[in-house]
Amino acid sequence: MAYDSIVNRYLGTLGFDADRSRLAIGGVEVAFHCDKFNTRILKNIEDVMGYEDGGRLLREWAEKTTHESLAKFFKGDSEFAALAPRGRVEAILELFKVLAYGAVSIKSFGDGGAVFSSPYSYLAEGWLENKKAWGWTLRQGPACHDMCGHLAAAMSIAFGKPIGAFTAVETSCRTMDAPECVFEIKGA
Amino acid sequence: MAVNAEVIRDGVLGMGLRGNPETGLLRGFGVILAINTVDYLIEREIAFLKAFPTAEPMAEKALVDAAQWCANATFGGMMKSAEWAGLIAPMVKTKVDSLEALHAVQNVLGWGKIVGYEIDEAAKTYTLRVKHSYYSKNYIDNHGISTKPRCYMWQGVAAGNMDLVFGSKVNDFEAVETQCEAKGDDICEFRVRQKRALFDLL
Repeated sequence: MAYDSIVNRYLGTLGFDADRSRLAIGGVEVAFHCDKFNTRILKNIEDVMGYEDGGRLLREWAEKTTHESLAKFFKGDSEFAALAPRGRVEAILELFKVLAYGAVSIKSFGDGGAVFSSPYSYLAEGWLENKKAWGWTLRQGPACHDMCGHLAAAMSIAFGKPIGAFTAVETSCRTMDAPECVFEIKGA
Repeated sequence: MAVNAEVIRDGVLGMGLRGNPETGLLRGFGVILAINTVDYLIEREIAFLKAFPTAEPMAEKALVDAAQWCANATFGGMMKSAEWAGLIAPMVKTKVDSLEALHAVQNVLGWGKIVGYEIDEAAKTYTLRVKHSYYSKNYIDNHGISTKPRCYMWQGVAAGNMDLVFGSKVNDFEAVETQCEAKGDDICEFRVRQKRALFDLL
């Protein structure tokens, strides 16, 4: 696997505090949740706030918290610092796999932005599970707001820029019957 | 055999809970899991509530409802999974055993620690006590001491546990959080009862 040493170092930070029943990885506290929870949070927030506002809320908080957690883990990391921006993003995508966000590939990459695709984006996978199990319907708009935030954060970290330096839009989503989810990231 | 929480904890953690190196998905216990930062999990909920200051009870209900459905679908799915059959089912003989097995699994997910419970099987009432709920310190650090309980996920899960073990459908039970560390209490406490049918109110 590419970026083995970074991934292994990240996995080495995974710790379970049995006294508190709390988990941490990369120096930040984390928790497991299932697709049922996260898709219902998504659905309920969109239902109450509306698609645009609900999506923005989830995207922005995913970007902020992912940026903070990646910055913390990679602070002072000479191996990461030695990589070119594309290599840094590729390494981060391997960490996203560890976190079970789904596999994401780079379709194009440049200083001004990138295009990513995923046949396994986590929230899309969860939505489609609900479609199969509970009769949920295909969506009218993309679902992977959190992945947009994660990818915008990855780009900012890769280029050493602050939160908000990139904007992310999901242009195609499996929850809308597309073959894969596609994310376009541009410099803000 | 009584439910051995340590065996369940070690068994679940020993499964190597991380995304598949190829797909990046984590399928286990009949569900798809992901690992999110606690900051993300909490702050998206608080931002959602702040967007609706005049309709906060409705927004809070939407958060609790998501967790109650999660409990039913996730832990209901887990209880039918091969992993449950192999690791946990041999320990479970009674409904109370089922509840304790659910507690043991819930105690390895990073949500905080279930430290006690009471169940009245005849009255179908249940009290769940949690320390170090993932909401508490995060909420206080970022927003100060709360004026009201904040553990929406736990509230839904507490009711969902009873839906699963003593109920017949999702939302058979309802929970209230009566104490919360986020508002300065020593513990988070959730009291659960069966929802009253309409004729009970007449």
